[in-house]
Amino acid sequence: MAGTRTRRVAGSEQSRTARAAALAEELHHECTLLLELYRKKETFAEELTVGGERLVTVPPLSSQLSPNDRLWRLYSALQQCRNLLERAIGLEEGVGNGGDRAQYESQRKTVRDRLGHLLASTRLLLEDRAGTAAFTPDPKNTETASPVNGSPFALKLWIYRIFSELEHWTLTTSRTLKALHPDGATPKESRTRGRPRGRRTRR
Amino acid sequence: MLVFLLWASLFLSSLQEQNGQDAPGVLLSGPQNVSVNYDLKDQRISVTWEDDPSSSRVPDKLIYDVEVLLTVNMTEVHSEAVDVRQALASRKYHWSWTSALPLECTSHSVRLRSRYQNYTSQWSPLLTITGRASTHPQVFPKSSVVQVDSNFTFCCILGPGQRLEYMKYNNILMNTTHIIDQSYAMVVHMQSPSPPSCINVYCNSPLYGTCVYVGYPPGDRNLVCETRDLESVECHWDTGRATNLTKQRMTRYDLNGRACPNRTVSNCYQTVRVDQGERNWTLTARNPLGTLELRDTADLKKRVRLLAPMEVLASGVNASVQWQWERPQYHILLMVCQVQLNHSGHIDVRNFSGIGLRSVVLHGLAPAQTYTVQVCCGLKQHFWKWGDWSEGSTFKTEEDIPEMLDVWMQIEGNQTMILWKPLTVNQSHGQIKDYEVTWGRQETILHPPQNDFLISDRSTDEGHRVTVTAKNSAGSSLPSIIIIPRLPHRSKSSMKIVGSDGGFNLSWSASPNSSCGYVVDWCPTHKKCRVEWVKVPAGITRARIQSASFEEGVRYTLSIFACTPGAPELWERREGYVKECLPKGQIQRLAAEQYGSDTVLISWTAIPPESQTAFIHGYIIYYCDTSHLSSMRIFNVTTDELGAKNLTGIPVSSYRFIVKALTSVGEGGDSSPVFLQMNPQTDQLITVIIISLGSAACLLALVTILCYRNWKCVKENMYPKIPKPVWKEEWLTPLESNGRQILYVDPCQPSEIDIVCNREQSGEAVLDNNAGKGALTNTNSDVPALHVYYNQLLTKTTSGHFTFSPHTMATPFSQLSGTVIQNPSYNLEVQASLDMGQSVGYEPDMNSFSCPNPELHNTMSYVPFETDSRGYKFQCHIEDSSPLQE
Repeated sequence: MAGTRTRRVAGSEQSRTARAAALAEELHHECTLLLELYRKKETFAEELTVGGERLVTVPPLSSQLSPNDRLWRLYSALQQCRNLLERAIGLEEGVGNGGDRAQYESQRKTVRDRLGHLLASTRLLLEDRAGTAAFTPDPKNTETASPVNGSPFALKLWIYRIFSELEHWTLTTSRTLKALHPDGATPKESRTRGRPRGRRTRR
Repeated sequence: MLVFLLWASLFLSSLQEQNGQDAPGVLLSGPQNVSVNYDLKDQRISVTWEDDPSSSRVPDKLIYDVEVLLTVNMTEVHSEAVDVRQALASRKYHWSWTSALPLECTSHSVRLRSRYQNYTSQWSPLLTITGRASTHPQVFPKSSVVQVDSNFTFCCILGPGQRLEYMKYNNILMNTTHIIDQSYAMVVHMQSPSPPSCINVYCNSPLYGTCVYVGYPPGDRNLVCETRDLESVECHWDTGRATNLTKQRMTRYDLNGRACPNRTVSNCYQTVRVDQGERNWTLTARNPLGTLELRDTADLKKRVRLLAPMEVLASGVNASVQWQWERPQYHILLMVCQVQLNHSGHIDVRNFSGIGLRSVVLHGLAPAQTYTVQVCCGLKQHFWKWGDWSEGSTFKTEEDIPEMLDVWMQIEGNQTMILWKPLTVNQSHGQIKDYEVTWGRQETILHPPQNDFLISDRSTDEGHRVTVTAKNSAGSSLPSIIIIPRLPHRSKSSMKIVGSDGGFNLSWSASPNSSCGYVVDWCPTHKKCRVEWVKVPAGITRARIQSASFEEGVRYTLSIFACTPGAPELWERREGYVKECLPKGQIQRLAAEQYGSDTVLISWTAIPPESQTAFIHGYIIYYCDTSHLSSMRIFNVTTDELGAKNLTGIPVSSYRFIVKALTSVGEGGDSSPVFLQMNPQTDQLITVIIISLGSAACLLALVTILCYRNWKCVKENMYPKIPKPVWKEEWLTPLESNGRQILYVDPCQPSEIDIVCNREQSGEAVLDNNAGKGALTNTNSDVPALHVYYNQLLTKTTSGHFTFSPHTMATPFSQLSGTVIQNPSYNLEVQASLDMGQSVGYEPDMNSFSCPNPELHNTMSYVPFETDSRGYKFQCHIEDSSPLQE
């Protein structure tokens, strides 16, 4: 019985992983769109690419890491992304908005909400593996230096970098979660219930 | 060494001559304590210094020359001569200058010297503002705010060894100039305001740049300050042109030096004492591009705009309105208030005044009406402006008895319809519950919406007076009385009337019987309808008749009744159209008929009156030759000629006819076209000839019948019996050898009868055996062939035919001679023979006249003479069995 229960839990976790992977994929798409809208709104040149020092700092996700550790690092990166996003939204009010403001703000809200969902999903996956004790203390983002007193251009560029970080880490999350999921594909309703595997286990 | 000191002394003395020894007895030592500051936000250099100590000896003003140089190559960027006043106690001076080139772009140095007339001091030591250096491209100035339609300079400072690739403004590649070393500049003309987020400026990469806001300085105007609550001042102004600057760059306002709340746009509120009399109110508007001051002077006690009354309540019972004031200070103010009544969109404003006014009573409100009331007030003394309107309060007034009904009648035959107009909301003073119609001793209650009553029998005297009242919850209206005439109205001829502007301007002659005015009613002339009417007061003989039911192109009959103490009397009538339209009906049955050789009768059926949409003044006949359609001809016909017209003088051809009705608005009602092919006169001539010939034939037949019936008489008169000559052999000579015989001719005396004969017409009878045995040939061509007479013996053959036999014919010659009618055939040479034959014996058979059967001739057969014939006998033996005889 214990073995059966373990396998049922594993099946549920698989489906959660798949759902989180799908959510991350969708969020990555939304982040790409948000970055493009922001670029147009602020009339940044198309050739603009931000590189160099990253705003989100987590240890590298090497393949030697256990899935649990990889999840932890993803979760930490996403937490930092959310903190940066919240900060960007607050600072952006000072810069002023223009252009397609309504569409941009709607997209920004969408990204903000889905990022919250992705964080919650990732947290559930971590709880499945390590329990709630793992979250004491909750991973906090270190204070990221922001151009609070900088020029408006620096602030605009900084927000652009935040959105770029969001795009990068949602893509990384999507790929990692797909890798953690055995099928590596988007879950389907029949699979999430795990019924076929359960029967096979009993035999 | 001595020589060196001498030369040095001479050199120094020469320098002093050049720089500071121009003033006689004065040595200009130059500005003291010079210091330089700069503001990168405004790109401003500020210089302060103290006066030249020697200036106290200068009797006139002192001038300081200020120079700004690019430190790297000591190129002068700006120089200025600054006048200073000697009277200044502090002797400390300040000078500032805004650099077009951002100060970060390269180092700037400043120096000063004092100058008096042509004497100058030495330059002060250079004071340098160091430019920025960077390891990567940087654009300066940072986050600047620039006015629209100005030129602005940006510079890019590159890192050591870096090369300028481009500078872009708003993603547009711009021209650059090399300032010095790694510093480059570009000048941009700010054509339009920036969006709320700034415009990007790049150098080499989108990652390296700055942002610029472009907008306008404040443009506010029209400051007005007042008080609402007698405890604060409230100033309003117009913002003017938008600055296009937002957030931290938007305009900030101060009122009398105190900041107005954030996000202030067009009004500023501050708590003040209002009893300070007249004072100035200054509004300062400031943004990064400029500062503006607006002023207003006012005594706030005379600038009171009251707040809106609160809790407005209105009562429909006594039509009173009460309200409250939010501020107790208002209770002691002498104020004037407007009470606005809105009734179905009609607005009535009434003014009331009093100290601390809080209630008013409204008079003259209509009963059973819904009103919405609003109140606003202002100070009666030192009136400044009306305060705010209160919220609306709705109430309904009480009901009252209805107004009198407007009653009229419509008589058709023995039936009279009593009509009355429904009372409007303003007339009914409440909801009408029923109508009461009293006719003689009968009372009938009718309920709305019925507003008529049919009286079918008005033969009794008491039935001629009808009373109608309306009733609501407050009571009955005053009775409306109408008297139905005993006799029908005398018919009146109608006069035409022309409508205008959708109605009729009606006027009529005054009626001597009119004592209480007139009633004008109207209805479509050719339609059943419910009559409409209007009552005209006494003394007025004209009215404008307007009705929503009026239709264009419909003929209306308007009847003018004189209002008398008794029944109304029909006084005059009019007929007309509100607006005449082109006839819509069609002229029917158009026909064209030819009469004679050049006359055509055109006939048609006129448009019936009920289909007429305008008065028809006449008809127009259009006709044209179908072979020449362009040759249209017109013929006008008056309405007196009832649908027919003769067109004369029309040449024979083929024609197309069309008839149109003529109205005041044009022609219309076109008939369908009719075609007529006219025939020439020759046909009729032939007809006449045929008729004449027929008549002649009939006459001839009649004569023939008459002659036949009176044949005996005619024959006796026209064809008497002619004896047949008798031929005897002995009159001939014996047959000669050549076969000829000669007739013995003895001279004899002609009888008297022969003398009568016209000798000139006498012929010669030659008996020519060769030509035909026994044939008697008449050589006289004048004798008609019909008169050739063959005397033969008439015998009846077995076949029923008669045959003449000359042998049996014997007629005494004397009898022949005695006839009156000549027979030219016998007035020939044969005449002698006849005479001779007299001796032989002539035996006429008189019985032959008794059978003048024409068929006789038809059945006659010719029997040639026989050589053995001895005599001439005319016999007519008719057997008893002969049908002729019968």
